[in-house]
Amino acid sequence: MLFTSVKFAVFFILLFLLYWLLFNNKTKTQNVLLLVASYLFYGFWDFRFLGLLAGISLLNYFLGLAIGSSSRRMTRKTWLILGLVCNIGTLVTFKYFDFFLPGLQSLFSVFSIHLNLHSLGFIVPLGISFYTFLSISYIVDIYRKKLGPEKNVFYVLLSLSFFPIVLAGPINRPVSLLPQLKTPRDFDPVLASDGLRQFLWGLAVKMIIADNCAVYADKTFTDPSATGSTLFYGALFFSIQIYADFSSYSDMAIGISKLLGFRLIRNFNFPYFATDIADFWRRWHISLTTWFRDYLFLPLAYFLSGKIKKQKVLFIRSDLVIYILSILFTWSITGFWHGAAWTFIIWGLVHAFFLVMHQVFRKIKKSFLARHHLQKDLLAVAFERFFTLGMIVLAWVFFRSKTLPKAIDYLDRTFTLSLFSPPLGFPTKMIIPIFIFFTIEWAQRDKQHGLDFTDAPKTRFIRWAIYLFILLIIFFYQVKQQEFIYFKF
Amino acid sequence: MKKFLVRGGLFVFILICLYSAVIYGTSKIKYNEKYTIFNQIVNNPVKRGGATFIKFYEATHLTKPVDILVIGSSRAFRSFDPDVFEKNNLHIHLLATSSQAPVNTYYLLKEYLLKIRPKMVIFDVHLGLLNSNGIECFYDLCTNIPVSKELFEMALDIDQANTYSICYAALINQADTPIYKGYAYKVPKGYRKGFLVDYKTDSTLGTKKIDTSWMKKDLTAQEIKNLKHIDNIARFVRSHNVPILFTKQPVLSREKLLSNKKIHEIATKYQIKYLDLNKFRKDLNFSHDFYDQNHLNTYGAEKISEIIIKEIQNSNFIF
Repeated sequence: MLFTSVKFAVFFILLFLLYWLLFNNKTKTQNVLLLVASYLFYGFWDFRFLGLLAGISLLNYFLGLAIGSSSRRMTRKTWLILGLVCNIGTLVTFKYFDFFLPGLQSLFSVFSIHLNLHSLGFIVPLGISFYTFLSISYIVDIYRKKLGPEKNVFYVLLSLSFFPIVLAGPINRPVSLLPQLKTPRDFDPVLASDGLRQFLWGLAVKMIIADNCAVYADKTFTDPSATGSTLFYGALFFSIQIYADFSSYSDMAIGISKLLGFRLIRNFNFPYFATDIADFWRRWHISLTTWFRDYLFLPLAYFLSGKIKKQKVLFIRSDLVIYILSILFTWSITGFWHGAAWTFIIWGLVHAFFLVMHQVFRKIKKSFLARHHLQKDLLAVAFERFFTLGMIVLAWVFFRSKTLPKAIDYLDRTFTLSLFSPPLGFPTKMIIPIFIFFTIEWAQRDKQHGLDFTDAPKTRFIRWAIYLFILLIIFFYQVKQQEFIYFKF
Repeated sequence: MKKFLVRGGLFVFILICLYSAVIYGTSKIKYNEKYTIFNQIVNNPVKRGGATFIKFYEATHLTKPVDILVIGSSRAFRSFDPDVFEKNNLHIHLLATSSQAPVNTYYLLKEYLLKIRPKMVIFDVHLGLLNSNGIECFYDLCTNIPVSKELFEMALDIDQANTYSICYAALINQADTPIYKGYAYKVPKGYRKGFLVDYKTDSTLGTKKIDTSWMKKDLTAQEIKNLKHIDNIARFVRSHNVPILFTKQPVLSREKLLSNKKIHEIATKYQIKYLDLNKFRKDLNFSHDFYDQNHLNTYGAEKISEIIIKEIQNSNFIF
């Protein structure tokens, strides 16, 4: 049941009417309805994994209680470690076991131990990476005393399975969702209207931009005879596709939540307008990057700073060494989170390299721009944006390729003389939609989403005309509906 | 809340009116001699070969009972030669259309099995089309056959925005002018009972290196969905006590091993014979019997039809 399907439209309209018309001002009943809807929604994809979702939620509920009720630091820590092992263990078993298997076998064979393990052949449960991360943040926040242990199991079940976010985020941590679930909700027409607009924007971006870009990107990534320019545009189209695909899902999820009276974390902030790589990561998949920052990068950097006492390590300032080590580790894990393949790990490490380079040259760049009075120069800023975009597009090649040799081959074939020849099979009909898409994004870059008309002096007639136009384009323009890319993760 | 719902209702009403007006208007205004603006904006490939209109027209205006109904993709309508079957006293009709995916086949069978009441069904499997969402064939059907409940069900199953637009356009246009109204029956050149007569050969196929190995890739979500439809097809036809045979045409291209294995499993589950005609590939002359790597021409069809007839006779299908 994709957000873009008629089945979902029917499901949501029924839910919306029951939620606000029948159970208005009955918070508990509304929450029961949301929990039933969430499990129905998840079960619609694959009912076999409903037990896993419920099991993980219950486990974390009890772990939360155990951590919260203990006053001894060691006991709390033991429960936390047990929780982390269970959550990460589940994720590893389902998602990464087959990836580690050959490595494990060769490692043991060094010691003449021949492991007779076979591939488990598990299907990766949809959304497992997302709901295990929600679960981890729940118990860690209780351990850090940012959140009290939830006594009512019902709220934990709902906060870890809330249907708009359970499959592909945003990773809206229980610390922000739980209080909203407990607060009585009144229908807010302003919030609901904005939710509808955000959903419509997401729908349009997914169906007009992402799904159409996918056709050309898929073709170039599987064509062994494509020319350099075709491959270049293929990578560019994939960059647009993945952004449009994922940001549209987040927009739809946030829009749906607004219609139900919830405010979720913003997940994208027009990332392709970033002026440097660090800026990009402050704007892209914000809920994931902040998750890694809070639960991995900062604790690791803090731990290392306690261990490295010297001023310099190998002639490098110790704070930079700590940064480099923490970044490399965090980004290899970030890459690995996306999938059990070397391509994702390399993608993460490429970004780690860019971030380290950014950190090293940040001050030099700043002083250079200041010396030449270029901080606010339009051309210089445009160059920064395009340079950043170029790095991101390059890294996406690793992300999209099936294997590492294929990614290297792709780049190798791109940077040849044929890069300057006209691209083959270029979808010219996509130029105008992509141009319009980025123009709207640019115009709305200080807003929450492309159709955010808050404070905009537009009359209802103009607004409705825009919505109708977008809907008509959606109904006619889509080529082939594609599943959301982030469902795989 | 009430105000919000009233406004929402008004918006939906305006949307439906505007949507209908755009569909009707663009369907009436010609873009060029052949196509309307609507065909152009939805990329509707009405130009597809396969004589869809006439084969469905004939299926609903039968003059003689049908022994075998053949359904599938273009591989089917290029491989089952009705004349060869006729010589063996078997009257066949083909409802195979271009790019027909199992999702299309299932709903077509739901509608036409009872209308045609054949003594047997042959479903020709195209492994590559398991990866199709069926929209290409759906366009073709909406343009060439009467809109029906089953066509709506097909649209719901494909569940893509422009599928609804195409279906809605067909409904509006056919309400305006019924599809068979005033049609003067005329057999197109190279057509017989759903079969496409085409003696074109590709001499390069006899000399160039051809890769016919199995692809060892996992199934995609679309393939899993279409395999479910093949299961539905088998169950549906068997529930009407009609014998069914699965066939797969000889091809000179790579196919997915896992898809083939799954079809074998479905065939075993319903005790259906799955005739993989690839095993007769060695009996064919590549540069003479093939139209291209994926289709037979009429020379090839004559040979393969003979083989299928023998198989039917040996398998004790009763007529």
